[in-house]
Amino acid sequence: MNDQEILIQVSSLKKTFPREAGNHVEALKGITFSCAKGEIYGLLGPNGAGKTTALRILATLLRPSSGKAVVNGFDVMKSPVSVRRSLGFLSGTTGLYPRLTARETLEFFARLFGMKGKELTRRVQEVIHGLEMESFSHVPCEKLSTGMKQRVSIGRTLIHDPDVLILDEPTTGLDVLAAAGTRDFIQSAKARGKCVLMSTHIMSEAETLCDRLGILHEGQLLSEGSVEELKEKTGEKNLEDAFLRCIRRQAGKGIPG
Amino acid sequence: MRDAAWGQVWTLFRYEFRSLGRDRKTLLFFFLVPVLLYPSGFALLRWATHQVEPSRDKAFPKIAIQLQDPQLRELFLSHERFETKESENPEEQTRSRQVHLGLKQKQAEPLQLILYFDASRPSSLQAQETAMRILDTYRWSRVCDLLDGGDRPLHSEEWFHLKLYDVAHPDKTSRRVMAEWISLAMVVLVLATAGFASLDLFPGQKERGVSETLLVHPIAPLTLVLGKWTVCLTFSYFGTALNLASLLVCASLGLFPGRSEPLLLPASRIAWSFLLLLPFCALVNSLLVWAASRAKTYRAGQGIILPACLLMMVPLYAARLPGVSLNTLFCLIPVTNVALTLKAAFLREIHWLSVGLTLLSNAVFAFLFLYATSKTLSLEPFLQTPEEKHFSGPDRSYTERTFFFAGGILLLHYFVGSWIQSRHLILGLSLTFYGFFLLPGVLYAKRFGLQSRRDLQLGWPGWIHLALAVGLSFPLACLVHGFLRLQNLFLPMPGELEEAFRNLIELKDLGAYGKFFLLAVSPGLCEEFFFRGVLLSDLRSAKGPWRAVGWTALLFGAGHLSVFRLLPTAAVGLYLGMIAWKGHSLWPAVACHISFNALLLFFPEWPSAAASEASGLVLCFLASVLGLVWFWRRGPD
Repeated sequence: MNDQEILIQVSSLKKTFPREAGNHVEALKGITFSCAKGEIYGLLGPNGAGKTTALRILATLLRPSSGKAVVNGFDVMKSPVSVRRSLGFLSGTTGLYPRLTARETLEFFARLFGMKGKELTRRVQEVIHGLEMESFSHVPCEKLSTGMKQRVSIGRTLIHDPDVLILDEPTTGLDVLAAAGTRDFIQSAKARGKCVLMSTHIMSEAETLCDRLGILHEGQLLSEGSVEELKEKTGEKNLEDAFLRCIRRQAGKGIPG
Repeated sequence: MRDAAWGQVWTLFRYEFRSLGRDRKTLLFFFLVPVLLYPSGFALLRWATHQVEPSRDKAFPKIAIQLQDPQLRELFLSHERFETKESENPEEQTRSRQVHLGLKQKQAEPLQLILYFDASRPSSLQAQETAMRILDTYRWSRVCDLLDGGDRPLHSEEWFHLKLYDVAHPDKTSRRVMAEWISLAMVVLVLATAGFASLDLFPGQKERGVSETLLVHPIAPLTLVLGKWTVCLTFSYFGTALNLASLLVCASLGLFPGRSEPLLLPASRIAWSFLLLLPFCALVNSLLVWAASRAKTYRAGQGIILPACLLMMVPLYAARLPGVSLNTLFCLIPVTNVALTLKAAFLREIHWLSVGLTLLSNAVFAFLFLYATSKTLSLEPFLQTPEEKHFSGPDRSYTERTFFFAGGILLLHYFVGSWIQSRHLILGLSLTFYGFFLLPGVLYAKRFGLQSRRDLQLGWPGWIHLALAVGLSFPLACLVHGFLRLQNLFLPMPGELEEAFRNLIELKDLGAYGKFFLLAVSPGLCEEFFFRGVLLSDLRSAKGPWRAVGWTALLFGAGHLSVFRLLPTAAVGLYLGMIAWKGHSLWPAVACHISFNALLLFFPEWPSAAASEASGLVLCFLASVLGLVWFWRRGPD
């Protein structure tokens, strides 16, 4: 991998959250990984592993306790606004304005990125056409189905044509059709040379989509590599077993036999 | 404003306003209430008032007099057609419709009288005729007296002047009514509209995930705050203006209840109202935006906004107190300054310097609140997913809930408890301890799921803990005595308060056991459950143990409702809080509190004698510190 192609670089990233009586909980214990242009990197881990925390630090919603995170050449601590200009962030918790239509939503966020006039109209139309939203572009978001809302959210993420996409469990809670549509979008983004960092705990999705995977557990990156490399490292035949092996090895409980 | 990008502010304003304007509740508030509710409601009230008015006037007319002339006073007091009473302010009583007429003597030689009447009330006009007949009788009797004397002129105009004053003169009435009511109406309307908008744009959007979406876009926090604030400002300004306009139309049509004549509303005064509405809206919205930004959910937001609105009513009511008028000091107090400026504008007493200071004060406060809001948005806890909440530290809304609860209870104690105690001491004290501390504490614990052992620390501590806590009450009482002596040097306790304490301790209606139960056991049990049980538990999880102990001590001091008792009781509260915390049980604090009160009740001379010697105070200090250290090191049994 050429250094110049790397768009996300995370080094020794730590995050601690305060708890009662001056205690702290370490959500991330110094993780390091990178993701290049045209690559899909998946963070795989159980609930509470620190996936969302890592992605939210990269999206500038949280501040790291120590370590470094660079997106498209901009440090998340030093230049958060430039980082936000370079990325599109999508998660289950990023909502839409319920009373704005799909088209108005796209126009609104495009304007926040400084687009106006013909450029704005052209880009909004492109996104609506690309995501096949013509039939419901005039409908308020609160009246849309889950799949349609997801398409609006994806449109919102893509409206400024970012180089980096950060997707936090993008298919969680979606029906089969909507999930398939989201997977198509991720693959098409890769084809267009975008750098995609996503988190998931769905093994089949990780296996199908991701070029490389990082297994995250209790704030530590236990293993990293392509699906085949992970299977090879653990001696397992499928990704799920490889994942479990990594987790249990960490906990000091090897799989019997 | 360096960080604000005005293009983004404008974009945020356009789309947020459009989104908010499409809400059905908004449309209802904007159009249905002002267009339909006010006119129909007032018409109904007016009809009901007219139904009641004739039956009220069947009784003898009432007249308020302020007369020095004994003959004239006797004439009115003894007249069978009037219900006469003497008054300090007959004009105001006539104006406020407490009486039908008012009669005031301005001067004795020559005699000058003013008869106040209300031309808008037929009953007042009828009473006026009767009063005029009485005055004629008096005048003729005086003329006859003077004729008998033979040394005074016959023309009554030279010694008798009567001025008739219509308190319901349209212009005066209008100005007075509007000066009185417009500020109140304005504040209530602004609070209602601004509260709704800020709730929707902050905690509402947080719940819907829109805030998170916005914060991953390249917008500076101050830009975001300004964009949303302008929406709230516009929404509340036009919402209030529309509602206010509807109220003014009702007033000019004579639909206000109890007023048959329309109010005269000069355009310049109305213009003042709408002009002053703008800085006031700016201030209120910035405050409510700041308050709303601190809530995590819509429901929590309601819990913050409502008390904030109620708090803002305090300076408003301060402006309505008699004798309070616009001066340089009041110009700087938010809400009060706008209410007073409006009042001055309607009474034609406006000064440009006051207006300037009012505008400046509002602008400064508004900016400070907006800046604070932008700082809140920059804080990590502003957006926290449920997953992160697992790791999160203090929950701010949790703390606010505790403080609002404590504040509400203390207010209840202050107003209701004190009032009942002043009428029936034993009933009042019992109600305060059990009804205002124990019962709300139990209900609160039940409502928010505080567990008896883990949170309220009701587990049994062991006999040694209890015995030591009882023993520590003596050095504690000595130290409090010493502290009070020191405090008396700077802040002497008034004699009435000392007298009240003596009366409380003596309480002749109760025997020794009754006094022990009411003044030692009951406060020990109920106050400890409330302060060291419920409040300490809630605040500990939100603020950590040290600060929680400090806050409960301060609330405990405030709960004793006297500035002279604040510090000593807060110090006792601090000690009891540490015993409860380090003893891992509420019972040592209860035991210490009961024995402390019993000591002051039955043997007040013991701690007093020990505190009179410096060596006694040092020993007591050492004993209390050692006791605390023991609790610290020993922990629970």
